[in-house]
Amino acid sequence: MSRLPINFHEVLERLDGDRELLLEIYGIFLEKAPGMIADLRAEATTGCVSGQAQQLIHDVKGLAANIGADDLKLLAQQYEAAVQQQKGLGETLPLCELVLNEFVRVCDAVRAYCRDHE
Amino acid sequence: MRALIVEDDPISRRLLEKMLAPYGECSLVVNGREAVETFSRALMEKEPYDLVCLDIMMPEMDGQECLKVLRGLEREMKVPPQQESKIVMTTAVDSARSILEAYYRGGCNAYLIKPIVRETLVGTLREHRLIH
Repeated sequence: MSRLPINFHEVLERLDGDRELLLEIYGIFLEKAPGMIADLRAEATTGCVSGQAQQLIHDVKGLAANIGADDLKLLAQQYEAAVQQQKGLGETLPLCELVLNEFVRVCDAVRAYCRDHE
Repeated sequence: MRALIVEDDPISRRLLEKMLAPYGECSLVVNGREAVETFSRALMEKEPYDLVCLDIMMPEMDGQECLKVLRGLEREMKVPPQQESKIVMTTAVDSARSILEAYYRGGCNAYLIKPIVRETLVGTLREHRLIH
């Protein structure tokens, strides 16, 4: 997954070219992301079995879809499926690590985009 | 058109608000429990919502449960079927099971998969004669 973590063109097109709105939703994303990453990291070692943890993975997936982070959405989807199928930590932990790494990449890309367009 | 947006994710909430703003007034709530309170108050004040955009997976009370309560409130208040609110489920869960449950057991009118695209949303509003 070496391509850009966000399809900025697709999101901007979806928002009818409204860059102000795009920057606003990226601002909301940057406020929420650190807390979600910390919570995900904390839940990972327990296998994300609680309802709260499953809601969190679902939220990551929804957030990724909204901001055009296609790879993050895909990884969160795979992680969510593994947790729902009650796969063991041996399978869920590496997936969680992939989600976390991609999440950080997405944050960096969003930060850079906001810096360049504000 | 009066719309109630029920969404725990602030980005989805903002996007829906922005997309619906040209067509009328929007109220925003963050979970099913708040939706039931707001919807019920609107019914009692005889200013019901024409549209409810209801996220399926939310903390406290999820969209499926909320949908059943909202339809139950309309039955209690003897709202004629043609005057019922149009309820559109919004979800990142594109599983057939949750969508079927919302349609056949819950009584929703439509569903939209996130990310929500303006044209699809507007098409749904037209299909249900909420806008022309």
